[in-house]
Amino acid sequence: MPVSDGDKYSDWEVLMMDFVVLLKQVPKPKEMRVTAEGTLDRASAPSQINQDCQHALEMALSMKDTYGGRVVVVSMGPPNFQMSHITAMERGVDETVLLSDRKLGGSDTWATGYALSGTLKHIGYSSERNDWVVMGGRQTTDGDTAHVPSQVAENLGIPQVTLVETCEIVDDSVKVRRIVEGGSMDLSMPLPCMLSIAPTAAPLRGRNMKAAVAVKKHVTKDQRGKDTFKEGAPIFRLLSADDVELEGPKIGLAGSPTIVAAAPKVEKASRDLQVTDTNGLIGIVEGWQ
Amino acid sequence: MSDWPEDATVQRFSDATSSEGVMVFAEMVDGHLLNVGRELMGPGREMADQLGVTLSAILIHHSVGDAPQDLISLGADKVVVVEDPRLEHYTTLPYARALSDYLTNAQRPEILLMGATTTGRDLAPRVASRVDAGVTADCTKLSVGPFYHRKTKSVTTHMLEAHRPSFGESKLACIMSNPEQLWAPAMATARPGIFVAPASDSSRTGDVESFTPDWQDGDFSVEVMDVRRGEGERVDLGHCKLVVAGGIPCGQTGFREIHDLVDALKSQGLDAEWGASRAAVDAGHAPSTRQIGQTGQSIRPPVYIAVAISGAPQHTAGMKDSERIIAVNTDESCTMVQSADAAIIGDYREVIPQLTEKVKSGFTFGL
Repeated sequence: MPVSDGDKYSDWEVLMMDFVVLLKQVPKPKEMRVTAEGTLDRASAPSQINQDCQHALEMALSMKDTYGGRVVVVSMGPPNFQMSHITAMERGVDETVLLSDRKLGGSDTWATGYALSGTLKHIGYSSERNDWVVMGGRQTTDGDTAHVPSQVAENLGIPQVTLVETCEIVDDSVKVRRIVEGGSMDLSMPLPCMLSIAPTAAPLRGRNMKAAVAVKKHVTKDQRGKDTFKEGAPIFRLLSADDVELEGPKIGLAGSPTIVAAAPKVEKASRDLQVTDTNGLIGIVEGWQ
Repeated sequence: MSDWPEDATVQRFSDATSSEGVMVFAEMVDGHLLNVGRELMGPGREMADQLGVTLSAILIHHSVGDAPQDLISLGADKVVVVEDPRLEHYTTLPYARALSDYLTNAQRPEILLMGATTTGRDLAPRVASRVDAGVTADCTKLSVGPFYHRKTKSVTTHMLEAHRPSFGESKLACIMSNPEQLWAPAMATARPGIFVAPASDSSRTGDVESFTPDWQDGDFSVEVMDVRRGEGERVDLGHCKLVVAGGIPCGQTGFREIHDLVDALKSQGLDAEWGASRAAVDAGHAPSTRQIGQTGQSIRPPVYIAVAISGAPQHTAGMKDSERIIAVNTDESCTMVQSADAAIIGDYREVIPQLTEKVKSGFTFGL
């Protein structure tokens, strides 16, 4: 248990797995704005846990319900990601870790995969251990690439499976159902592995009162009145790029192999909605020709 | 993007990255080449001609059959074949090994294209991180051009311009290789149904080359237990003139009404078919071979009729480019109605039989 304060469970005859969740906080999709440089202005929009990450979080929490163990959330982003970490804590997450550093700004998916995998390695998760699984959402609403889970897995040197709808642990493997075109496939994954969770998986549960009360004592307000962890809260770790020993040339905008060269506005061929009935439709369709 | 100061340094992407050629990963499922691979031969050939380089395709499967000749007829100069009985069903690690070994040990193309299928979206980022390459997801337009990087005062020419909708589809971002981290290949995935496959010319000739990856321990550590891909024959909705799709509220009765409407349209000589949202498929109202949306088929027919489908992004991703959209829904405020050309607000149980009657008396939606 890399980020816990002791190994009090080590003698128990239960499965003591860590279910690690990669979680991103995103601006609410309808309230996103774009800066002059073509990157997202994340600071000004209200935020939420990315939709697909919510499914990953729920998957991890239900695994913990079934098998025991711990749920650890890992994110890369600005300090205000703590809001989502607190939301996650209120649903039963045990511990959260935030990699936060201005040097990471502008990272593309390749650089993000490198930085997040470095964070996981730093807090003790490696391909050598078989008592953990990492989960991520399929994709984010602000990036929409679905790349990061695969790129974290490659950097960790562990197997991956994307578009997972259900999973269960059977002996020392994870049985998953993956969505494919026109159907699904069942796979048996060795441990550890990366599961990227499909948006058709179970939705995130509501707040657990006991967990919400427990986390409250570690929470305070920042200068803007937003929830943030108290300094030294034992359930939260804030790490910098140097803490995690990331290589400078591989992070941030300069370390990313792709850049946004231009982002011109698209004039949407907007449809001119006509509400009608069956008879009216015939006239409308004639007008289309 | 083509204006730069006279003292800027100029380099060609392929020279700076020691890479050459355009390559398409042509995905195969159950011994068949997927259409998206054929489609990518279009932009692939075009860019290869502009760059003055060869277009190759790579096939990774347990048995490739006639696929190499198929791809040569569509414009490939060379087809690389990785055949192994263990490659019947896609899993990430062996496919990533095959592709990355080829890129590292045999030939590093300057551009690598893949379909944004469940396979391509899983494989492309994995390979990109393994071989150190940039990758752009879900492109809708591909071209080549120069880029002036102000910070390093350098111009890199003949680069992949990977265009993709972003920020809620309000912008078309052009993603290019970063001159500070200039790696090849420049990779991109493209949704099925976006590009049009070139005309096949069976007189074309090309090389077929077999490649054996350096398989490593652990490449086959993931076990495929079972695969279920739609019962019955696969229905290709992509070529239909009109598609009527039903959502989960339709239930068995509603889908029967939809079948009647489609049958009536067919009787009028129209190339019409029916489809379903994922929720309706999951509820057992339609086979997954007829699913439309992100994890189903992407289509853009001349007329699309959405019956009791609210318009979740996962569904609209597969039909929003239809020429005309007609929504039948009780909820006027739902996304599908609001993004349609025409909408009938009402109960499908009344509306669909009415439409069927109209069709029987000769109404064919202007087609």
